[in-house]
Amino acid sequence: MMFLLIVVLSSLASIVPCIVLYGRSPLALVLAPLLTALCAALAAQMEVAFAGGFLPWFLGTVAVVNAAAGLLHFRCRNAMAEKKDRASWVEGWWTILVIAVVIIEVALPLLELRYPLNTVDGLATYYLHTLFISAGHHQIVAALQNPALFFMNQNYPLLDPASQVAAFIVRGEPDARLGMLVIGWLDLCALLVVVVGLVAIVPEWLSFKAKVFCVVILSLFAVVGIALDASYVLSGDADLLWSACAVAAIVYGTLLPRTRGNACVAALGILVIAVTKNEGFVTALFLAAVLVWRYREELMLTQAHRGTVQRVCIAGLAFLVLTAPGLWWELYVIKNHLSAAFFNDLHHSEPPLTRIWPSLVSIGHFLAVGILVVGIWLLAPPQTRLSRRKLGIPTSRYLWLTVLWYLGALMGTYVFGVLEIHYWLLSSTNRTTIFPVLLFFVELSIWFIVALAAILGERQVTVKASQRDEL
Amino acid sequence: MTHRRSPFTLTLLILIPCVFIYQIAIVLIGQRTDLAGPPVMLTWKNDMLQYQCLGNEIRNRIPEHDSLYVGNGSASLLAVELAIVASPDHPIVAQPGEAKWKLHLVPSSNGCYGLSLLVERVGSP
Repeated sequence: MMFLLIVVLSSLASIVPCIVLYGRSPLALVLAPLLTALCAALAAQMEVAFAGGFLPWFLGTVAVVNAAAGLLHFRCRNAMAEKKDRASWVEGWWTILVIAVVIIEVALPLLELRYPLNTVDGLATYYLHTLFISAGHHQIVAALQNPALFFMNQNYPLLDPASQVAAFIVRGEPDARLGMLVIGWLDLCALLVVVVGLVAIVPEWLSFKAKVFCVVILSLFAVVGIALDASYVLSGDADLLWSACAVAAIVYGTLLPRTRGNACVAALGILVIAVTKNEGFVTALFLAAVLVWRYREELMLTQAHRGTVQRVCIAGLAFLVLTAPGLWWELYVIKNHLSAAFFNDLHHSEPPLTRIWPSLVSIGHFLAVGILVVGIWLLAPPQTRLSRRKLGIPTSRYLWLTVLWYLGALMGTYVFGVLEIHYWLLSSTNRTTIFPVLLFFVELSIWFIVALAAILGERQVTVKASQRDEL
Repeated sequence: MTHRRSPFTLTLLILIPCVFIYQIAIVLIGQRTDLAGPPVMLTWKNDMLQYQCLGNEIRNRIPEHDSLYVGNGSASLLAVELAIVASPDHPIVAQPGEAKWKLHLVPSSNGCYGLSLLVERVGSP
C-alpha cells in the first residue's frame, strides 16, 4: 500500500511539467516519476554542496520545476500550440495499451526475481547513501569524505539513493525493501518509455491486428531489460535504470522524428543518466552532443546569418544544459577528492596490458547477440534496406557510435582500473553490458518492424490488385 | 516471389521474436535454478561460523531478525547497518531466536570492499 502511494505521488509531483513539455499523453504518467527522481538527485546534490536537509531542497526543486513549467505554459501557450506536432499514432488508448501489455508481460519475471537483499551496490553503496542523505548535510559530507567508508563508492552519483530517500520521507523511516521497490518502479518507467518509442516506429498504415501484434512483440523489450538485470532489478541497483534511460534518449533523440516532445524525452533521459551512474555520465556527454547535432536546425545553428562564434555558443549552452547536473556532481567529486574505488591507489593490481584480454572475453560473453545484429546488417539485401528507408526510419549510425563510445569507455575503465581484474569482471560485466545489449535489441526491434511492414505491405498491395482484377 | 516476401524478410520476422524469448528464457531459467539451490552454506571454522559466498540469504537459518541478511561475503545489509553503529573493534552481539551470535566485521579477503562478516556462536541454540 505504501509502495502504491509512492508510485502515485512520484507521478503527481512532476505530471504538470511532463504534460507541458510532452503533451497530454498517458506517457507523461511514466515520464513524471523519472523527472521526480531527477529532482530528488538535484536536491541531494544541493544538500551535499550547500547545507540543510534533503526534504526542503527536494520540495523546493519540485516546486521550482512545476512553477517553471506553469510559467512556460502560460507565457508561450500560443507559440507552443502552433508548433504542436503529431509525433506518432501512439497516443491515448494506444499508449495505455502498450503500458498495460508491458506490465502484464513483466509481472511474471518480477515475481520470479524477488531476491534477497544481498547485492553489494544495492546495499553497501545505495542504501548506505540513503541513510547518510537522510541524516542531513553534515552526515552525508562526512561520510563521503571518510576514508573508512571507501567501499560505499563515495563518488557514485546520487539519483538512486535520493529517489529512495524521497520515498522514505513518505514512509517516515528508512526501509531498504521499499527503496529497492522504488528503484524497480523507476526501471519499469524507463523501459515503458522505450517500448512506447519503439511502437511509435511502427508504420501507421498497418492494420489494427498487426499493430496489436507489434505491441505484444515489442513489449518483450521490457522483459528483456528485466531479464538482463535479473536479480538486481529488485535490489536497488542503478544499472538497468541508467541503461534504459539512455536507450530512451537514443530512441527518442535519434530514431523518432524531430519533434518538441521527442526532444524533451531524450533530454530527460540524458539528464537522468548523467546523475545516475558514472558510466551514465560518460554516455550522457556523447548523447548530449548527438542530440544538439540532430536538433541543430531547431537550435538555429544552421542559419546562415549566425557567425561561427554564435553557433558554438548556442551549441555549447545546449550541451551544458543537458549535462549540467552530471558535470556539477563530477566537479564536486574532483574538487573534494571523493574516493573512486576503481581508480584509487589502495590496491595493487595487474598491469594494464594483462587486463585487456580478460576484459574483452568477459564483455564479449555478454554481447553475443551483437553478432546476430551485425550479421543482419551485413546480410540485409538492398531491397530490405530500401524498405527501411521508405518507412522513414533513420539509419542507426548514432546508435552504433554510442555503442562504440560506451564500450571504449568501459574497456578503458577495466584496463586502467586497479581492482583485481577477474573478481571485478565476474562481479560487474553482467550489469555493465546491459546498455549495449539493450541497444542491440532496439536494432532487432527495428528490423522486426521492417520485416513485418514489408510482408504486410506486399499483402496489402496484393489484396488491392486482386480486388482490381475482380472489378 | 518479390523481395518483400524474401526468405531473408521471413527469417527476420520469425527469428527476432525467438531471440527476444531466448534472451528472456536463458536468464530467467538461470535465476530460478539459482533460487532453487541451497539457501546458504555455513561452515564452522575454529568455533566461528563463516558465511560462504553463495549469494543467497541466511535468513532461514537465523530467523525472525530482519537485519540478518548476509551478502556475498564482502558487504551486506547487516554489514552496512553494523558499519554505522559499530566498528571492527566493537562487535555487536545479536540475539536471533534462542541462540546468541557475535558478529564480527573484518577486512575482506578480496580487498575490494573492506568488510566481511563472521558470525560467532556464543550461546547454545
